[in-house]
Amino acid sequence: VPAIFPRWTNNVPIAIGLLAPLAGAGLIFAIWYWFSPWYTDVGYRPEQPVPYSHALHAGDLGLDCRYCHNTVERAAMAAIPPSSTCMNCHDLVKTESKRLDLVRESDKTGMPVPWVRVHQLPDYAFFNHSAHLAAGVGCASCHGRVDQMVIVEMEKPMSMAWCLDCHRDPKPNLRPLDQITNMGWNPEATPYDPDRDPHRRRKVNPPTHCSGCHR
Amino acid sequence: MSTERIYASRYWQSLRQRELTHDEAADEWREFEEGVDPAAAPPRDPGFVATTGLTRRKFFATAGAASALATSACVRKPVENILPFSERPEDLIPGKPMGYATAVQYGTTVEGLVVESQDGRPTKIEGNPKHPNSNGATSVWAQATVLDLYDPERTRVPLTSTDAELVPEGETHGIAEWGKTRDTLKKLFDRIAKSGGDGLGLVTRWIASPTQRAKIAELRARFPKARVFVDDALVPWNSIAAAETLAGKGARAYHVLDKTAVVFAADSDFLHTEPDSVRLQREWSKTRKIVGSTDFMSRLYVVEPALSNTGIMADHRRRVKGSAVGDVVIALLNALAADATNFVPPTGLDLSGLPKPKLAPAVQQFVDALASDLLASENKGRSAILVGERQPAWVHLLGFVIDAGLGNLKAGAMVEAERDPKSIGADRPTPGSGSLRLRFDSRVVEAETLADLSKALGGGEIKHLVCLETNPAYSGAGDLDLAKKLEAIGIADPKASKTTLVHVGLWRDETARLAHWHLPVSHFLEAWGDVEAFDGTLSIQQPLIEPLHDTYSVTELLGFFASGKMIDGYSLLKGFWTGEAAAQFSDRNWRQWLHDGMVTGVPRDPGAPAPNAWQQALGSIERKPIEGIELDLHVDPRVLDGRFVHNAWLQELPHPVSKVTWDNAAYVAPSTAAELGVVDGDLVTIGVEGRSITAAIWQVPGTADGVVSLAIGYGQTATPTATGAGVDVNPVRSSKYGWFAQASVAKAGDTYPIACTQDYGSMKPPSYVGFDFDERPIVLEKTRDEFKADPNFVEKVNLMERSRLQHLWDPPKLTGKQQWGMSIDLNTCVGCNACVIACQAENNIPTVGKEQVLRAREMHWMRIDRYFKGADPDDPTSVVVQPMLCQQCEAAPCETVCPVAATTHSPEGLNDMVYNRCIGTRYCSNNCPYKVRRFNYLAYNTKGRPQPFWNEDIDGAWLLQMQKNPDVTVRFRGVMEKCTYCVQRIQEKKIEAHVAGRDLVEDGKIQTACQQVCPSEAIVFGDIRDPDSKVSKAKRSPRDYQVLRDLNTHPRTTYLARIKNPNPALAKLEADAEAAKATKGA
Repeated sequence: VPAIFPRWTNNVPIAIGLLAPLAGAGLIFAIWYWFSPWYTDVGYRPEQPVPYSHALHAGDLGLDCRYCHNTVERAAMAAIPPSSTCMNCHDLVKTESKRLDLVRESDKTGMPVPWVRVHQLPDYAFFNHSAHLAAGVGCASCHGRVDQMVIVEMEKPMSMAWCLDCHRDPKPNLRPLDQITNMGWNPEATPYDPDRDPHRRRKVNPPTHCSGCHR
Repeated sequence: MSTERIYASRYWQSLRQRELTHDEAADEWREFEEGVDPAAAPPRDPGFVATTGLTRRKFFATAGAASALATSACVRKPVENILPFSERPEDLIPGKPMGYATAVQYGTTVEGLVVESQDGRPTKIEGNPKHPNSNGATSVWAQATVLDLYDPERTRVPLTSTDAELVPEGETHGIAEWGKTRDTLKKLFDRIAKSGGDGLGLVTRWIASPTQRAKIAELRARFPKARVFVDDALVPWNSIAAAETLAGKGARAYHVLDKTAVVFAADSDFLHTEPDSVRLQREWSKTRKIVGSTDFMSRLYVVEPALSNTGIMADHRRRVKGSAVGDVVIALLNALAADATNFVPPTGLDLSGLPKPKLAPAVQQFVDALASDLLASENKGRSAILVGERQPAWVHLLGFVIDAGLGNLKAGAMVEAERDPKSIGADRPTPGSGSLRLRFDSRVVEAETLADLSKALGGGEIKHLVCLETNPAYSGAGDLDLAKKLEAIGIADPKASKTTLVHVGLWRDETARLAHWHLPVSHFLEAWGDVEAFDGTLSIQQPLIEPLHDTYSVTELLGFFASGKMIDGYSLLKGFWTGEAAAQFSDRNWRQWLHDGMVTGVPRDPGAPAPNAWQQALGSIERKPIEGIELDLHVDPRVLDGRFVHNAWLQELPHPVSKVTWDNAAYVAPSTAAELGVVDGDLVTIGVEGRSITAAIWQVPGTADGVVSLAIGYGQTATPTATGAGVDVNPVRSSKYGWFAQASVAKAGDTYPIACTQDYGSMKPPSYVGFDFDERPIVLEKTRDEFKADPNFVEKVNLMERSRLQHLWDPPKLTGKQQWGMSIDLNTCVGCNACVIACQAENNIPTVGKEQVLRAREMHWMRIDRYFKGADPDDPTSVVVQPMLCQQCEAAPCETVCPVAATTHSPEGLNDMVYNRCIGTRYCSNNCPYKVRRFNYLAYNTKGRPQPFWNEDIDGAWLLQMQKNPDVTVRFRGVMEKCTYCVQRIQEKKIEAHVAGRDLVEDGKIQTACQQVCPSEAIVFGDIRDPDSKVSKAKRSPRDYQVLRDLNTHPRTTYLARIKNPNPALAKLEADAEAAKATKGA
């Protein structure tokens, strides 16, 4: 009987046997790495219609986060400030600046400035700022050093695994309730045990069950 | 093998189920329809989704396009903008809902509301706790009105036939400009004013708005010869006529029930479709909430031609033809008059001349028992005779005579209370001084009827007609021929050269199509207004949102017609109240009224009616017994008189008794159907006075023999939602008779598919061979005496001892500090469906259309099961309704079968459903013994409907989107869903408590949507770990039981068994009769 396949084909099964696990491992790695929010979302830095610099306002000038995001302690949303908040200062400061044209126009016409959302959760996940602030999670814990960002970008993946890491063990991310908006607060420099904090009225007990966040 | 009928002597949900043998039941029992049978599809597509017509080619084309789209979406998630206010209004926190008080009116009923506004969009309606007509609850209709606001089928621009250039080809009307329309109409009205309004007519609904009444008075001053007609089937015309006969023009009678011991409803569905049902339900249910077996409980007697929600709750019920209800009332009066010591007729009334109608023995027994109950000394002055609106005025008058004779009409006390300035407005006279109240409504608009309109149109007396939110071309009775007459003054001459027909309304309905101008109107959530309830409570309506479309409110348009000037509604309203309240008016008061939703402290129309024309009551008796088949028309418990026929929520709502959706049908008793030779779905021709309609038959136990009961309001053609739903009964209505007519019924030969949900989700899987069991504990009821004799009866129905119930594996750990649970009281649940719609509004539940309901794919998270019991299918001895929703089992069967853990347990005892994990295997639903899970077979939430030509957007999806609750995920195709105990509300209150530094949420802070809306407070929700919570207290009642406890699922929702309170003497007679029937049937 003449050989139908050439002799080298005998090596094919061995090659497949060796390469398939590698390819499988490669695929798993690819999905684990490139499909993860650490890769897809972290570093998302859309250009905003007004080149507002958090580094200047929150960092150099030292504005408290809550001067603009003033509903953060009371509501689910931290509320992007209305143009009138900008105009509190910019009525007097930089009144001619071209970069502020859109804000002035918005203040005059009543039309909103179309800010671009940076931290975007899926519609089936319900996040509440006020609950996290009341628990003593600092702004910087999730948003990073916004006070050093000229253009705001996403620093944390905001993935479910990342949320759950903290929900299962919140202690390392809790800080004194008066340090929440302090961007530079360093947990290593000032050790803190929330269980011994007399200012806390209840023990933090974050939900890890589904309806805690999905409704 | 068992051929014994499985349900016959037990509770049954449908006549079909009642006839099933054990074997048939075992063969047929399945939850999901198998395959897609095109033959099962109805001949027309009434709803959102067309699934038929998908060919192989089309499928591949769509699949290809879908995969192409899917790849094109493989980019970063879309950019989302945040659009903050330029200047944020004070107190507004983005994302936090706010509540505003307003009020809704339908017919004479007014309900005070608090509407939830989500960033400026009204999304959910709740009752105003301060308003005496809603007490924090609402009716099913008030709940559903929010959908009308966003209805994509609403008219958005004025349409006219007068300018041929604007009219597109093949159409009769074109889009008009408001400016030009206003100018033309102004000129027209100026011209009519010169002749003093000669030939001008106005067709309105019942006007309950003081401002609108003032505008009508203004209009009459400008056009002295103008005529006003009222077209409103929800107005209690007969009760008004009776009260006016008795006590003079403007007198109004109504009942207060919270201090009653015996209630007799003579064809009165006071618990649902009659006016002010929310208040009456609340008051009546307070007399039925018993805890211990010796607590006080009222008794309800009902006679009616067709089963209603009130009939369901009756302790004693008799099926009587609608035309014979008057006879029962006469017989009752005769029986009472025999006891001269306890029954004191009003002064000067001689009862000897009463006719002596002959009643069937069972009915006579009923009347005798009722009379002795009413005369009992402990019930003195504590009873109420409620006569239904369909009964002629003389029956109402007799009802008043009985009430007065029994001391229920405390004229003196009431007059005092009415004189008190505080009694007008919010502060109703304190109850307890008599169940029947009279008051004066002195500013009522003098109006004529549609019959007068027809006559005037025929005689050429009306040349210019304005229809304000009315649709006389549809609702006019058949003998009036209004459609033709309106066409003659309307579209017959499209130029409107001699006559004019103007229609103002939310939808382009039958009349709008005949009119020269169709003007869109603002929804009540978009308009300023005020309303006066039947009992005199005044409410301010404030808008929740600017008009979505280019519309004016009815008040604004009335002002425009009256003065020729278009003034905004706010100025009109405030202007009126500045004058009306005079010295009491201040900005501070005004703001208080807006805040509370009620006008208080303004004395209006003091003076009380003096009932004195008693003898007329007897003189007006006019019995009209109907031999043979009686056509019995009624207001529909879903769409009322047809004003909600455009509302998909209400269309898809199962009828409280028949469980039919998307249709009305000719309801008959099974024996009547057998006599006529028809079965469910057969079309019959119903003829009255030579006119006829064709309707489908549906057998409903509890309908009187020889009665064909049909709901009005269906068969409209205005919108895609209304089109094809049900049959229009107006052609056989006549201005000569009221709601009952002698009719001929003949088989028409064809059949019609009816989407009925009564057999869906049955909790009675068949008992297999060798394992037969008694009645499973699903609904439980006992009489009061049985309850007294055996307070622990709920424990005895369980199939197994508690100790024998074992778990296969450990149930989830319940470590939460609070454990949520619910208790539902079957004693007070009347099955009004308000909870079903509240749940739909709160939880973004879509409607699916009739075709999908036929496939058992309706999406309601909550259904009301209705069970009959008794040997006679015509006359069930008992009817029980049971709200069925996710029972939140602690040992949930659904959780153990989910392959992807999409349904898991929360430490607080909730059975969580995670939509983003669900892959749609439907195992959970299959394993759910309560059948409360719902599967999205199609993308019901995103499908729109084809739209009329004037609507800019094709599918209107952006409008419907605005109604969605942002706190609840909108589910997509392929996902299972179910009741979550309104987990979004739980979380909101929990977070509020946590932010305030509290661990626990106070009892009563969290209300589920169904609980909040319930007029009879049948649903209680809360923390079962807290022994002092309301729900824990409810669950400690000896009546508390778990449905299907023997399955050991440990449901968190438990029920309080129903206790009936029959008259012992009558109950014995009834039991004997039932036993005789059972032997005859066996």
